[in-house]
Amino acid sequence: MSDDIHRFEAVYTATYDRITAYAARRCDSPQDAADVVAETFVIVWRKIDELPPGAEARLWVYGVARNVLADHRRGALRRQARHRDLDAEMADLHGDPADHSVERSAIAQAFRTLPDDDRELLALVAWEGLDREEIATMLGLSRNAVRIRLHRARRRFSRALDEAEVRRALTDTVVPVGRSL
Amino acid sequence: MRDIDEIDELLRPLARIAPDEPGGRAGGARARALFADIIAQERDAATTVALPRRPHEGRRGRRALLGLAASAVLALGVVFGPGLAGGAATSYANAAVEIREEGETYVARIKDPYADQREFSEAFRALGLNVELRVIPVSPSAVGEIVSLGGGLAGTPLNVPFGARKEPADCDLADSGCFMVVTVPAGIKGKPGVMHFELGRQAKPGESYENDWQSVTRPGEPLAGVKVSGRTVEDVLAEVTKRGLAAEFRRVVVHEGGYEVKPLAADEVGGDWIVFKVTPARAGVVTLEVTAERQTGLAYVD
Repeated sequence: MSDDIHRFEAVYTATYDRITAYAARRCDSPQDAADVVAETFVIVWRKIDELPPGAEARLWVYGVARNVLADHRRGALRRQARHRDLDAEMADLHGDPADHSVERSAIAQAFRTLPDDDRELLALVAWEGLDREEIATMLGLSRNAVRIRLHRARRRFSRALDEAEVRRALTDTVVPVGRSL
Repeated sequence: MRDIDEIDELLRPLARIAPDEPGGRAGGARARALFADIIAQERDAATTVALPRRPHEGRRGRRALLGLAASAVLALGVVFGPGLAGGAATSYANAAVEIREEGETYVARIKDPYADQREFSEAFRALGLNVELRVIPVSPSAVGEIVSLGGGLAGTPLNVPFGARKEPADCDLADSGCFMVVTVPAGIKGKPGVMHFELGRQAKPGESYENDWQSVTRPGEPLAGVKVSGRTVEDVLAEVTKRGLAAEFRRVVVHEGGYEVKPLAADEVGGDWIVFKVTPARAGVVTLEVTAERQTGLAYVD
């Protein structure tokens, strides 16, 4: 038992910041994000025997968080006993809880039109900074499958952006925006 | 298609917590409290406590449309604030446009952006924001749309939104009750760069379109739905002439991370060259963006 606690403590400490960020980026309210974080670590604790060693541990925890989030979106996740402290933590991360202004961005709107799986793949690369191999490990897919899915997701996002007719010049210099490969 | 780096650049600002920033601190009191609570749970028991779901907080209701007509008495711009507590001006209204600070952004509502583009810039300038609205001639499908936005964002926090939309969504700017709403990060205040929004207008006869990066295979364009990307020049020219259109050419030059288009005379182009994209030039004329050979670096997706 005490070995288990040490293992859990190690993985908890190593992934807490990433999982809170992961949840905060994907949940509309800090309360939801707090639920996802708490439930994720409860499951990690319960399944600590299954925790893979080394660098894969982090990806495994991401995978748990992803499943918890999916359950949450389906409304299947019951509320955890309230963690007021965690709520406060997530509220800090969210900033102004009434601020849903991210949705106002045209790019965000295009992003929201994508299927959930596309959004998640693109976000894992752009937000979590995972590479294809890591995503493959996390999702239990082959690297090739991830490559193909990512390619399709990028293509659909590109199209959604074109439909939104918005491009962003990243700097003030004149660059041929919208003309990348 | 955009490459992964560009997609990353577009998506990074959407993250509520910037990709390089950690979330909560594992060593913090809150994290310790959760940790203690979890390890106190029986591992194999279904310990999830069945508490009723708290209803989600309602989305902040759409703010009532400002009666810009009602405020038309404001013949001159009025800067509100500083309030009793002092501080910088946070809102502005003139007859054409109204701007308010909302969170880390400024949100402008403009009734008739075609008529009032100068007032638009003036209103932003009154708040110390360098934002310009440009009205550019575009191909038919882009008329009345924001076709481009950008610039001036360097140094602003990545997670602060910006953008333009119509309110209500998809309304026609020619209708009364249709507003253009522009959101810019407050962080651009006092920055030298100009953030611009480009709004499409109908082109005059013979006038060149400035949305010349968009595809003419989009709905509302002359080659709507036609597959052109990856086909030969000969094939695509047949589609073009069948529709009574003329063609011009540009050469696609691929380099790391993107490509450029360069001028290209029609007599230099072979029928077996490969079309990458077809874009609008002006009424009745399209531009074929081509390479002499198929390029592995280009995504032929149109």
